[in-house]
Amino acid sequence: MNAPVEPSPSVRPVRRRGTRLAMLARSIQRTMGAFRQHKLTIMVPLFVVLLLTGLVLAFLNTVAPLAPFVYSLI
Amino acid sequence: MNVLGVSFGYHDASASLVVDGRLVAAAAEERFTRQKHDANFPTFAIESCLAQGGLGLADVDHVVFHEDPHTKFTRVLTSSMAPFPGSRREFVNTVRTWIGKKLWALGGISARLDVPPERIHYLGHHFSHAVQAFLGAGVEQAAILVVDAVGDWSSTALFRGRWVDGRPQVERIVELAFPNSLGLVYSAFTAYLGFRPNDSECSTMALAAFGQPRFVDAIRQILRAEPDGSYTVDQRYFHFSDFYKGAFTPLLVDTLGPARSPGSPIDFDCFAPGPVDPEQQRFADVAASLQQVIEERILGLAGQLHQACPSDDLCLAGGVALNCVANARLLADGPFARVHIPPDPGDGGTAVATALYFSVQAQGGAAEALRYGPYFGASDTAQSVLPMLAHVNPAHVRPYTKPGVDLGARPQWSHQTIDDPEDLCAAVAERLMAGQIVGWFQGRFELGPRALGNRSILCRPDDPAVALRLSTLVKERARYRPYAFSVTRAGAAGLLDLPEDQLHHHRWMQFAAPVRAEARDTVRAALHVDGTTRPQVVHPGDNPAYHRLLDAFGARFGTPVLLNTSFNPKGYPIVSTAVEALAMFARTDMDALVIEDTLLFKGPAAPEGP
Repeated sequence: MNAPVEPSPSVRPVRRRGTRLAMLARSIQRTMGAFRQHKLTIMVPLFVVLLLTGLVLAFLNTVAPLAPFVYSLI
Repeated sequence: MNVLGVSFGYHDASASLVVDGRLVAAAAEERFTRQKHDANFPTFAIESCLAQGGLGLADVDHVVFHEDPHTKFTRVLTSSMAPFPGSRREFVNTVRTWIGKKLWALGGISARLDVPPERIHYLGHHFSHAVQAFLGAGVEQAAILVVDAVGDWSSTALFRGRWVDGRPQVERIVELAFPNSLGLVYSAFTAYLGFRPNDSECSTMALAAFGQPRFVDAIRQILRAEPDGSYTVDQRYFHFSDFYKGAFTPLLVDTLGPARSPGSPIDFDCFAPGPVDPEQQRFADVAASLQQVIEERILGLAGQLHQACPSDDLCLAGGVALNCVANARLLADGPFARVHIPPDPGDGGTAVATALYFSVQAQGGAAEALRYGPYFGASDTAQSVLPMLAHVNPAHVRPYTKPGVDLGARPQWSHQTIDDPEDLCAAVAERLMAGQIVGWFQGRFELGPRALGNRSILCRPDDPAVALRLSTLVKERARYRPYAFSVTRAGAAGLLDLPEDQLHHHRWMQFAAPVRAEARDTVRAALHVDGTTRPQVVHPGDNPAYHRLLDAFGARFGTPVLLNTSFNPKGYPIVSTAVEALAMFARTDMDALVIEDTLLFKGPAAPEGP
């Protein structure tokens, strides 16, 4: 059942620069599509708000000196 | 073409490797991290699979994920908002987890594995379960039933599968959407009975055998049957959308009585059945009632599926397919002649299915060739532990031994290598006959939650005193939970009260089965209180080494049967490496440990022969 196999040679292309951003955009697009598919279009504005909030928080966390200052105001 | 299947994010993260349509390796992450049901990205499992295939990350052509994170997000977000504002905490937690991490699972895979995005694919969660069941069965066409807690949106789904021009076609017939879910109901009752949901459902099932189904009418109202065979769940009894409030509502407590406190005693005993206090009996009665209603609903679904897809073969998957008692009822009373369940029907097994499905869709294949067994994990040898034995002795582990284990009587470990497999099995069989508890560590570890003769703890099946020592000084196992046994195909007919043509279903311990009345003393220690067990019928081709041991024991005992339980300490996954096996051997009252061809035992080495 578990006899060794010859691995087939890979033909995989390399991962390009900017892939992370492309994947992010693709995931947002697919999530929008999923909301539409399940007749939940009403949730899309909330999703956009949550995304923007997430982006702001991610930015704050990236800029190290900024984060403690902003969080101290909340 | 090298295809990696991955599943992670909820529980039982796993990975698999398929090379040119052949499953090469598969493993759950928990076996490497030692965290039971580990849900994290399966880094170690992927490494292990690639190592077994002789590949590196750069050789992976495609990666297939086991669910659609975008659709799942719509369900999680919507359901966490449903009881708003009462579900504020659940909502905030959901948003934090999903916007912060889980929604970007595909991007995460691409970044971690350095695979271009166009090479990352996914299947719907229940579709993954459906192909898992269908491909694992190796049949040309079948009806497919997926009964789970919840996937993307669906919790139960009916499919039909067939092979057309060398490629599998799996088509959805109907699905039931969250929050109607047999799996979630079973988990909520598991919480009600004081066990950990999503982990200890087997305890609920074990407890059921001690009860009478006197709450069955009440639970039928909670889990209502529909005329078409499907079901609906009365949501007033549960908090499926907000587990912070607990899995069930006060209405369930009003209906069935107070819930059991986690950790409170359960005095039921498989080895010495007797009366317990009425409150404990009530919990067993609730479990029995739930079990009966779950079986009725599964039979209803099977009837509905058979009408839509009148086949002799049913392929079953999803977490509920681990309920071996319900599976046995489905086989006995359902409309299908054969019920096929893959070795790991839960989420862990979907990593195998997704990779196989993608590969065979791309390259073609045949049903029979894709059928797979459980032995696809990593292997290890005694060479990784023997050097340790020169430096470690029982005195070193004394502070870590289980309470009650007396190392003073055997203050020495010994080992011997026995090259001839027949001699090794004979030596082990002699020890088992003498009432010893033996760890059996061979070959590659198994897929799924069952130990099937490669990572097993074994002892003779007729002596409750040995099983009791196993429960208290090795496994720390509650006495209401029964053990099971392994028996060779040749010996099975004499023990199991089943038709001969049903025995092939029992290869991977997925169905309960009644034991013949005249054979019960033979397997007294591996029997539940209702006279059933969850047997493993071992065919010679499935696991030759284990079959050989069973035969060697049978030659001395009279029947080729052994009590077989998983090789893991309480609260931990089954061992994967020889070092982990040695650690458990050292800390507990196990008498001997067999790692491949090396026999380790407590006590002095036998004197050299003349």
